Amino acid sequence: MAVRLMQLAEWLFFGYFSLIYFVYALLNVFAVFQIRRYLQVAELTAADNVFSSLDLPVSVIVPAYNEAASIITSTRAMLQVEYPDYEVIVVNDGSNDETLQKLIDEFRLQPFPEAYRQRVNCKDVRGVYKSALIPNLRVVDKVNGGSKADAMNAGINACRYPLFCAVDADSILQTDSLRRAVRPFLEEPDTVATGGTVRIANGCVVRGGFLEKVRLPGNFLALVQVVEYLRAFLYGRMGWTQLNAVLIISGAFGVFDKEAVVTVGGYDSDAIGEDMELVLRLHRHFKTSGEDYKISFVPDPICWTDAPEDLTTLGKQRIRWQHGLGQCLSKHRSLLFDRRAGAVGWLAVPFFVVFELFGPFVELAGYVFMTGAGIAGWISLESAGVFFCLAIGLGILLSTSALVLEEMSFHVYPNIRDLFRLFGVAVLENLGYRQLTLVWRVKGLIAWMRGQVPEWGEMKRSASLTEQ
Amino acid sequence: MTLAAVATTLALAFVLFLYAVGLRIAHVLHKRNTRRLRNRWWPVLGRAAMESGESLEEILPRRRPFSRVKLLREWCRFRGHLRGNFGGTFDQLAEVLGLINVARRLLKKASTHNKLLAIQALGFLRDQSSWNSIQALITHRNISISVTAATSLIHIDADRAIPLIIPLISERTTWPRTQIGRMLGLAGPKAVTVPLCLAIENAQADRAVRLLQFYESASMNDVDSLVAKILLTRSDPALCAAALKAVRGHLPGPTIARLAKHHAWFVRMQAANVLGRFGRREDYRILEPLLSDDEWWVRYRAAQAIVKLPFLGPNALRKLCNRQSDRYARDILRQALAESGLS
Repeated sequence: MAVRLMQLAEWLFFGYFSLIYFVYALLNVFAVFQIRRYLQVAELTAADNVFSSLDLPVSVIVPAYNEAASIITSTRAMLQVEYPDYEVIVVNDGSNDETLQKLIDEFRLQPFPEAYRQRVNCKDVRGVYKSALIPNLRVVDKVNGGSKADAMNAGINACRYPLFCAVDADSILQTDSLRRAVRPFLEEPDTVATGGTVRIANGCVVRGGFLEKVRLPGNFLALVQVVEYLRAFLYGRMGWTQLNAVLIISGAFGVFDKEAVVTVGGYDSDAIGEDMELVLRLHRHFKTSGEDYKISFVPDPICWTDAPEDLTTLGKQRIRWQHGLGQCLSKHRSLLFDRRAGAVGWLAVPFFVVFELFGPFVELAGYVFMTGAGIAGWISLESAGVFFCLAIGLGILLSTSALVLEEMSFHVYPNIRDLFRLFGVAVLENLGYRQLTLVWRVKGLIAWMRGQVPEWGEMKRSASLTEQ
Repeated sequence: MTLAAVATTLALAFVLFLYAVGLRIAHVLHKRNTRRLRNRWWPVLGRAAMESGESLEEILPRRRPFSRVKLLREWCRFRGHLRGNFGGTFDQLAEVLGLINVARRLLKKASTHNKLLAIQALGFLRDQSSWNSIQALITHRNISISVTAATSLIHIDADRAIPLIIPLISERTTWPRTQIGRMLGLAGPKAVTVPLCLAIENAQADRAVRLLQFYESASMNDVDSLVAKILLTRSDPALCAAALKAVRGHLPGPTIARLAKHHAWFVRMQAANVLGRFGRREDYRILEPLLSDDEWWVRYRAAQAIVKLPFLGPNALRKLCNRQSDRYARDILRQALAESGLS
């Protein structure tokens, strides 16, 4: 009986691992077609990329909490975006460092008698400032709401334009990224949200808010995250776009239809993964009302963000992400197999529940079981070996395929040596790092199940975005 | 078996990596070839585009390009950047080099990329003989192909193309607004005005709203009389708001006063906008009540309009602000004053 159970468990883990990699490979194939089509059209319409009066104006909202180290660089970067009509709204979320003072000094901010109106809930606004130097820059100073969502809501209340772009204060936008991210709104009027690719800024040379040189980070952890982000953005999201089932638009860079967001009540201040929660709520709202809508992912608008370079910060981030994922999926569980929910309810949400939420637990259990069972002699060592090779080898294959996608498309890292380094990382990350992230994610899963409050911790900034 | 599994997965990953390296090498080579082609041919195309009086023989280099498809792509790219009038030699050059035949051949290809290139090129070359083939593509389900085909028809013969395209603009809501705007701009007001105004007049409200977005492509006088007619005869709020947005001249006082009291807030907001553009003394009495409107946007636009009125100086505006008994009216006026640097 015990032997039978062992064999069953062995096959269960084999089956699960094979299935997860098969699904990822399928997403990869979708992404290849989607990217090829996108690039072919983009190449021929390159000359058409001139602005016209029909372009939609955008409010860029930058929530900032204790971002004194990087706020000037990131605000400058936002102000250098190439776009005909946009405003930048920095929301100081009750920082207890010099974030507000730095902004006041750098941009000569003056108190502005804004007739502020509260359309979505957020904590009290203490004041609004306007720059005497830059007409399209305003700063909203508010009482700390304890979440980025609350700061974003204050920004939404203050913004004037029909579209808003959410950008993290530790990120910088590439100058043409806003134009590209807004394009789906012009091409498909039903679009309510678009997300863009986020890349790792660590190692890059940033001066005066300008990204001067793209370089790979020297720190190994940041380097590993470069490959992770390639995987997550290039085929993780591109693949779902075709089915209108993108569930995550990164909080670091996303463009939204303001009225759609206001209709669903803005960001949820209690959500840990407020970015995913909002997207799920938008899906639910439009699926329920039966209105046509589109949430898409555009592969080339690039936002560069700062990645953690130490294990403690990275661990806390991953625990928080998994916790947030659990919270979001459980809150919107009604989408699961809802007859009106289409690909979102029948494919994307089940995928996220099975592979992204509980996947880390099954994967980790698989590693532990196979090691234990192999050592104890319950299964043959050869079987355990094959399992590890399958898990690690397929992991390497998937990471390498993300590199192939990158080479098929954007060639962001210009040096061919970077490609060799990334391949080395694609191999190495599967030998320890990936398993470590599984441990963090399982911790996050347990924290969500127990209903614990997530730990944010202090994010140490890399040198790239910090003012010198 | 274990070893075989290790070897297979690693070998596969390595093959993928080699493929990635191959892609990078191909990309570098492609960039280099494109640069070379561009270095050699863009000066030639530039000379052909200028009215320099040089003959084709003088301009053309002895060495012909290795790939005519690549040259066609460069020709299109260069042509895409040209604005205004340019030398006739530019088009002749494409004919002499056989690019027009290459484009006609590519038009029959199934690949989207080739089709798009061909449609674009044949439009630029104003190839009348391809009219029917391109016209068949304006209803293609692929948005890029249909829009490029419509643009090419305008290049070939704007007067003939516009009556075909305007009904599609109101039907195909997936056509990008910016590209439609560019397309109509290319055709010019002479070709666009009558068909566009007629289509707006006869369309149902939702379609008329979509078409009204492109009012800038039509001549001002015709749009103004159309808008006046719409505002008198049609009642759909979205259509009224779109029509107000298109107003460039003046509207009769009673019409605008009626619209400033419209039940839909976005119509009142557009009415405030229009009044701000007029800047007439008599409109002030319509604008002031809007400062206390329930909707923030109406109050904001009314305040902006009042601040812009030429007959109200800074002191008068400050007095007006202090005179407001409604807090919302005072706040919004104060904001508008601050925005104009008058606070």
